[in-house]
Amino acid sequence: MEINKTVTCIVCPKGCRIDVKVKNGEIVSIQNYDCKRGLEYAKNEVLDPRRILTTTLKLSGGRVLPVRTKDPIPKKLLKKAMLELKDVVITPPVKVGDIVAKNVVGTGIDLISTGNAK
Amino acid sequence: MINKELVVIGGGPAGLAAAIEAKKHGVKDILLVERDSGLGGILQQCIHNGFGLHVFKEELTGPEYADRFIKELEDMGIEVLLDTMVIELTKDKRIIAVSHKKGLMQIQAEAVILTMGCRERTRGAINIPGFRPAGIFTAGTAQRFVNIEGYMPGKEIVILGSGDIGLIMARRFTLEGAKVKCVAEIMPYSNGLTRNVVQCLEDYDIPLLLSHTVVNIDGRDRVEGVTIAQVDEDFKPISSTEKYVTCDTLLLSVGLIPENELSKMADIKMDDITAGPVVNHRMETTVPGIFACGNVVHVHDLVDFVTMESQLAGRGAANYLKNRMPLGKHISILPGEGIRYAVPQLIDPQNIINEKQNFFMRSTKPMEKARLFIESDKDLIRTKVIQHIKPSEMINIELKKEELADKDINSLRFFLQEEGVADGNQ
Ligand code: SF4
Repeated sequence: MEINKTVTCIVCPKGCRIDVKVKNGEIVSIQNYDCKRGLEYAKNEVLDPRRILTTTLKLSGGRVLPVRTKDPIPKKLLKKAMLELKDVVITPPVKVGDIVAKNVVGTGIDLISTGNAK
Repeated sequence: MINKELVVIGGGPAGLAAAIEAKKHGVKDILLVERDSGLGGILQQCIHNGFGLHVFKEELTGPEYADRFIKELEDMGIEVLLDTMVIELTKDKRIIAVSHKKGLMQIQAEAVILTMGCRERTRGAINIPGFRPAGIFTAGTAQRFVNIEGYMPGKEIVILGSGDIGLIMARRFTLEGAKVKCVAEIMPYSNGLTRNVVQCLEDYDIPLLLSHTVVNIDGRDRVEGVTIAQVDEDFKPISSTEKYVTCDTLLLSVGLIPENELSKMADIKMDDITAGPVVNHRMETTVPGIFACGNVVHVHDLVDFVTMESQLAGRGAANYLKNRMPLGKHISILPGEGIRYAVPQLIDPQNIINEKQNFFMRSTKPMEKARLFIESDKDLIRTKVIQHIKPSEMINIELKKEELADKDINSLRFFLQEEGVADGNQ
């Protein structure tokens, strides 16, 4: 079975609308992308969509710490990751780039701090 | 009275980049004044990724983007006054600032860079009837609650306006377990970046209702629901399309306004369309020695462009301080058909910095494909085909000095013609 998908590329603000043809779970053609990054994106977006998760963790002294996954994780695991991270509490000091949680929902990808807390 | 070579007012992305760049170009005695308790401005609450693709060629979150500049500023030893609010600025560059610790301060600057940023339009600015219940927030205020303070303002949310902060908050609320019912946008197109529509709404199946608005807010103590209606071409609600949506929270993401009280005090000429100061090729306002950059000049959609513009301002201020020669003849930049505004509004082609001049502009409406014409009062300079034009996504074009300086031109005009309509000459 052949499926046509239009993927709006979000790698840069240009927002190319990329046409992807999928046959039996495999990509047979990709058209209308303006650059290589878009080609990669469209491929992944159809076969294995991923997102960087950005959220906050509680700080032991009150308020919250901004964090993100170091690399994109599968889109379908975002909610699960939020639940896993719900009750994590971080004790300062912590600075930008520090690993605050390892192997988020078994993806092998770590969570890093994007803020500083003293 | 404190004397300073350069005072930068505002410690957000614009102020940070301008101060750093001025220092790099030889300005020694710089003071940056910030009213908040830390640097970085609004970036600190923009915890999502998508910053830095142009400047760093990588994708950072807001706080990470800010952190790089804050570190650089600290390493350079640039003096910073936090928790300090500038309350007065004169055209002679005299500044009155106030803080809890130091009380009133008078500062005489030789040059000033204005980087106060912008603020959000509120409900008052868009006139929705109803009581004044709790549960109505601007998107940025909600963002601060969730991302800095760690509070959720509500559980069932309707968002009015499709500005970027509203879209980002739709995703943020959804991930935090709230239900975002819909985003209503009065215009027939989204006001946010395409990437945000895709990543924040489509990813989570949140409906974007174009040509819709909120006509009534229900609830006395707390928001209980809103009435949403479709609008006609004149943006008048069509009563037969009204529907009631229950919610406990209404977020407003209906635009940003440059914050220019200080600029007006200093008698700086303002642009009616951008609501920011009129600036020239080096981001200098109509008051010599007072520069402006970032969202105080015009609302940007990408912080990367704020940084680039602010680096130019920093360099411009350094030039001004080094060599106070008056500039040459300025030519006006005129927005033509299809262009809402262009920045800078004036340039001195002989004194362009770095042999090239960047122009930022916004279109009046979305266009699938159009040709941008760049024309002087003497001849056509260049044309360029641009695809997927949206008013929410700034058009950015660079002209070389030789394209502008050799001719004795008086004005420069930009206009857009949708492809197929244009005669297509190069
Ligand atoms: S394909 Fe390339 S140019 Fe087009 S949106 Fe994607 S990254 Fe940008």
